[in-house]
Amino acid sequence: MKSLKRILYVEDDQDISSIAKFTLETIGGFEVDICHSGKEVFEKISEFKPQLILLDVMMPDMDGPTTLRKLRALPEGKDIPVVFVTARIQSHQIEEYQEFGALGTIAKPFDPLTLSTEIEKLWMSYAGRF
Amino acid sequence: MTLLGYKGKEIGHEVADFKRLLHLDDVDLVMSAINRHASQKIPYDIDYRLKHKDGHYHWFHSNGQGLWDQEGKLIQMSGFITDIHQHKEIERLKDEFIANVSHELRTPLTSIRGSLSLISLGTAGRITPKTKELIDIAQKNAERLILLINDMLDLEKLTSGTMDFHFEEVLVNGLTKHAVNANLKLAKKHQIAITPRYLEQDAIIKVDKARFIQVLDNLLSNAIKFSYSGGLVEVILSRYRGFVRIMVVDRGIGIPKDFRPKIFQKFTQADASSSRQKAGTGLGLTITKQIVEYMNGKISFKSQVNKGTTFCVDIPEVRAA
Repeated sequence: MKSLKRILYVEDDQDISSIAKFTLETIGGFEVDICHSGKEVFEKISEFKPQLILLDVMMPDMDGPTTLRKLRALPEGKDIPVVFVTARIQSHQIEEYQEFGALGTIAKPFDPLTLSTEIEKLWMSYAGRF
Repeated sequence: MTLLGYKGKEIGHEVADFKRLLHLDDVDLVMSAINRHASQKIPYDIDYRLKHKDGHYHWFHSNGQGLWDQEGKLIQMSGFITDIHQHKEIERLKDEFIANVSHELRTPLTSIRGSLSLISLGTAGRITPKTKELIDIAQKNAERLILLINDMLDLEKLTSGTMDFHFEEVLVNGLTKHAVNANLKLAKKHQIAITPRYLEQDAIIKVDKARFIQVLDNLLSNAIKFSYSGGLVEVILSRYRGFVRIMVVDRGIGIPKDFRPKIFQKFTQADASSSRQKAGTGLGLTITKQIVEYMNGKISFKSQVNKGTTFCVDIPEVRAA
């Protein structure tokens, strides 16, 4: 099974993304890059080659689901697993994310101390399929 | 009828005419209020929406009194209808405002809490004990603000009817045990013993699991916080007239008499000094009551100063297990 190394986090709030980057790098030992908008994803993806993308749902200009849809239309983006990180976690909303093809959902506010383990678990469920 | 923009004979005066103008979501509410008034003389006092001639739904408040014939049949209703549309509109805007502000507060607070917990654990480098002490204070207060915001959002969802409820049939003993266990740590901290008494034959109730636990959790943590150190909190399950009754009994400081009528109101706590000591949000019981009623239950309490308080929640029993 391939181990998870490179994570791309798409989040418009600078502080939340800094905390996530810090904890994922220090505690999780991952390599993390940040995008502050959905648009930026398409500039970074071919260079950074993320193995997993964490995606905020509510963002100005291009929201999470739209970003995911556009990502799936690209050859370099169609196979990357995507996890939504959002405060909108009512059960019908989570079902919706699954229909969009998300690997999972992480609730905001996330606990910075356990975020890495949560992501590792989701990765195992994904990578274990092959 | 002029309140609704209709003229003279455009609409009739029968109950059926009235019903036709009622907002679909309010039909059941109004009809059952009329029936309850007619059969049990429960006061008729409700808010509802009627269709205005221009198409929009307009809010009204009604209170009325029936007139019964000798055989006890309702023959006429008279009373007052008040236009409360503007009032409702302001209320809605206020709730919406609170929800928005709470959301906006949550994002920066999340960052504050996250940063603090990472610093506090030394993830970002070693810190001195003095620094740790100050970070802990900041962390504790960030937690408290988050609790308050979550409560405000819960309350707004309950008031606007957008709270997510997943009703399922569950066994009451197990669910209660879950809530008891979740409070053992707090009980230990306050040196309180919790003794549960479950049903001999388990019962099935139809509730939202998480919300039911939230209710018991709130009552239990209150009972613990307002008990004297070394005291006892009892949780007693029983059956009463088709309901499962859950009693949370403490022998603590009790609720002051003049505070009792206000206990389920928003942002109320017995007094400022005790609220500071016990660190609540003043919304817990308001939320608890609304959740219980949403699950077709009832909540009540008895209290004696310095002797203790008993909270009693009744939830309809679906059937014995």
